Amino acid sequence: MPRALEVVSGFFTNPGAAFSVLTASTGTSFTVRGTDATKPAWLLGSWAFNATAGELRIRSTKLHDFQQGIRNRITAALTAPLFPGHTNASFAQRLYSQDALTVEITGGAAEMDTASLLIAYDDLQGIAGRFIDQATLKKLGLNAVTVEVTVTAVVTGNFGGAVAINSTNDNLIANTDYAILGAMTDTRGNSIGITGVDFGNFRVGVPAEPTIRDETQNWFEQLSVAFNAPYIPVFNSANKAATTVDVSTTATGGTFIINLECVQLAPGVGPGMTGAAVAGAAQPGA
Amino acid sequence: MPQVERDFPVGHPSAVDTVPGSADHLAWIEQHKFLENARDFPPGHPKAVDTPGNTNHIPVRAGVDPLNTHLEEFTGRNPAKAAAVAEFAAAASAHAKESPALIPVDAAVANAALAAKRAELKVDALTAEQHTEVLAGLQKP
Repeated sequence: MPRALEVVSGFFTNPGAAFSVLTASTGTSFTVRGTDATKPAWLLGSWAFNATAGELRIRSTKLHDFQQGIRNRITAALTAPLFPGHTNASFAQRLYSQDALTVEITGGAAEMDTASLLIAYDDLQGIAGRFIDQATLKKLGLNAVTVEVTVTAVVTGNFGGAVAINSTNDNLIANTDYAILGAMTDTRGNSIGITGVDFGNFRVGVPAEPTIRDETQNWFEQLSVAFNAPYIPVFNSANKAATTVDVSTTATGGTFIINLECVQLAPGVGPGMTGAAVAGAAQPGA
Repeated sequence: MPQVERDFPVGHPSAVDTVPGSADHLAWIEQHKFLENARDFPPGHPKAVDTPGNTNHIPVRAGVDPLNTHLEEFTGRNPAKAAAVAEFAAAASAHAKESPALIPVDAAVANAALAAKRAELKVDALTAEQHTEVLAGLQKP
């Protein structure tokens, strides 16, 4: 199934107490991509990074109501998941093809505030991103490996500072698939983005929050478990030079050290795959 | 001097030489009241509420050293170093580039084309320029 996962972000400068429509980051949009109308898209997550507490409101005439919709309080200086949040399971909000979501924020009167939505497409023709579920991860996973990169964010609110996944340490095994379970950051921002041809050139994303590492380090694995669908992105090391990591944050910019928690995948369990490689795929409780 | 191994600590109710009501016995009871939930910790314990200078009132926040709150949270940098790093990061951010908006591609089609190019060049991985060239070829009308 041509599945896709995309994080879309936006920002607004000095929203204050008035709900202000977010400006989408370059290359992203709060309009749901065009799909076969019978194939659902899903809002899997939302989060925001405000220096001052505020509100994030997501609404559409096609969702519950166009007055307040999904409206949640943003805690100051904490990029934690708002609704839907997938820790200990959750409910994904159905989205509709080409629906223009109205995404608004309130916050400080002298700061840039930012927010992100994580949208999944069950069947988006022409993308066919590579994603696996947790069962496949446990079956094919061989070794854990951390990919560490340093990203210098831009101050415009857009995604920026993209660096290749092998820019710091080029230690991935050649022509091998790797699952990305999640990511950790040492600096607070809005979103960590990972973009590559294996995801259809879409950006998959994780909240850039250093205090909830237990939630972000296996973010995609938790998504997959909570929503019972393959949401763990897989990339091939042959594409390492063009698989990039970037960050969106407020006007403060900053330098982010990002750890991507990855698992090397077996090329397949079958003829010719015996011994250590197969044994390595066993997991506790398997 | 021979080593003497006592049966129980001095003042312990079960020690053979403990006299009930003696100073040693009363001292032992005072030290062990916390075991019966009569007080929080033994007298003098650094966390006991009546120990002078205890640190119970100091908040423990994520990323902050409770006894060195002047250090930057999560990094532990002193103020001078934190300011220098922030200045450097701000200067770097001012020159950082925004990420390019990429044209969506079918991962299966693109990976097949990239694999063919790798085979043609007999390499394990393409450079970013070669990768871009292959994708540009796919996106031609």
